Amino acid sequence: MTDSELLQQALRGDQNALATLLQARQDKLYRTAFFYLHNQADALDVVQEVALQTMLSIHKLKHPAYFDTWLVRIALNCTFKQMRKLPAIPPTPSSQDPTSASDLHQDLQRDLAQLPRRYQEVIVLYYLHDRPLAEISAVLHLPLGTVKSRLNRGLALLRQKGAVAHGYQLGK
Amino acid sequence: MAINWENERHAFNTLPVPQARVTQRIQAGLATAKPLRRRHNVRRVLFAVALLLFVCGLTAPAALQAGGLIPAFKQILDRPATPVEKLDPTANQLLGDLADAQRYRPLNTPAQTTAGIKVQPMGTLATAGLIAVLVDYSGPNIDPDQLARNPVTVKLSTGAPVGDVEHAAGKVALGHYRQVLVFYPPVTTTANIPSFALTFQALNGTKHALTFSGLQPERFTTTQHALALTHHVSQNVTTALTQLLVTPNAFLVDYTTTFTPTALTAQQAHAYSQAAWLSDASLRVNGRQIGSLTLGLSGTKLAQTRHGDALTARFQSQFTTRYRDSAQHLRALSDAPKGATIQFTVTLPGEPGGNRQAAGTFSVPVALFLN
Repeated sequence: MTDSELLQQALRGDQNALATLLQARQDKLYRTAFFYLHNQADALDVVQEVALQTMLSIHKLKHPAYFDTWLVRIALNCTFKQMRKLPAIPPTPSSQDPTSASDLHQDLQRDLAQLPRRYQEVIVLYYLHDRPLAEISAVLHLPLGTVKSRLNRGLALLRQKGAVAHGYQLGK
Repeated sequence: MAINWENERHAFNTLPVPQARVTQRIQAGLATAKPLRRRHNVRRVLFAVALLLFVCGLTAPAALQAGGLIPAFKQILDRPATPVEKLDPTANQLLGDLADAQRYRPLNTPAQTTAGIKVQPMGTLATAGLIAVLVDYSGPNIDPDQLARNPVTVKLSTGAPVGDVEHAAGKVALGHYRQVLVFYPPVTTTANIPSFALTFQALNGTKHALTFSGLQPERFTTTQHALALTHHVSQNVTTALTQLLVTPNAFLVDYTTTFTPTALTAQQAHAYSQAAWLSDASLRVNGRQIGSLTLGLSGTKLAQTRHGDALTARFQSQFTTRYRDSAQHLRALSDAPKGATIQFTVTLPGEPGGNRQAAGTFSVPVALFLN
């Protein structure tokens, strides 16, 4: 059965069809949560919450073709919600002269988390999940121009304030 | 060294995933959705039932009272009860809150129903020179603006004439309207009016005759002070304060103008005979003004007498026993500083287009106004 057929069944309230769709995307869901939370237990909690919220709001999905983007958005919202519940962790000192890919990766994660949520959302969807701008625009209910400006503004903030200023090539 | 987003995406996509545990959590999440959904549905049904009951509860009494669902909804959309501003400033201050029926002495008069509208005089409030009557209306299609325009006549048991009757009306609850009628009986013999009759010549904009007789206003204590304060405006004109009648909420001050008409121009004689008014009363301490009294009614002419060539016109003004201080706070006269006096000014109209003329100022100790 194709994704499209499964989705139609899920939209009609079929829980098994939705379970199949979610399991096919479970890596993405888990990684999205883990990217921010850096903790398996918290990331698993988020995955469970995403499954619950998806089941409760699948009937609100307006563009079935954009199911993946819609799902990542739910995952991001649940992750942000989970982050609010957790005690604030002081940021680790930034590496002034990152010498390895691993250092820079950690810097990016930390700096991204410092951005306003509206910028994080588009950057994660576009760069990490490789979603097309038009799809992000439809799922976030934002004009395409707004999505682009948020993306540019978010990247500019990363350049100005983040440790990623060290030679990052922010083009895709 | 350069790190690009391709690398970041690759790092992201290679984060290890505990597959079995994630699958388990997805199943758990979906499993909790079912009872939650059921609970949501039960809540939705309960909310719908509660909303239905609320709407029925809201409209049923109105529908019964106001004669149907459409008038009921019309009344829901009416303006809410707010203090009225349709009487004179003093009456607004005293009686503007239509929802406050506590101020009035209850009347035991049976209600009368005309054209489906039930009219019930509720209570009266009286003080020297002022009587207010509270009337309740209930029925279909009541228009508070029409209520306020209903012609009403008042007949006092003392036989004294009553001039204008002031109206204010508004909604106090759903399908329930209220009117306050205010009139000013001139006090020539007694301030306490034994009874009066109200006749409504129209109701809600339609002609009807509806009379309530034998309405008894509340009785109040009065203290009378004779005064002999005079001011010579000219050789042929004298003004004077002759009497104070003090009651708990208001006082009346009687003043006179005495003049020889033949020694004045016709315009001047007319002013002293008809248009002398006393509407300015300031509270003073050591000559310094510290407040102003609130005026009720000014320049009611009571009588005119002749002694030889001289005419004496007698007038009356009413003030409340409260004053506004320099910060515009309303205070009782009983709170005025010791030794304070009230200064009254008798005024005449000026030449056409000109300023008013002061025809005498008179100072009276505040102690005389404390009932």
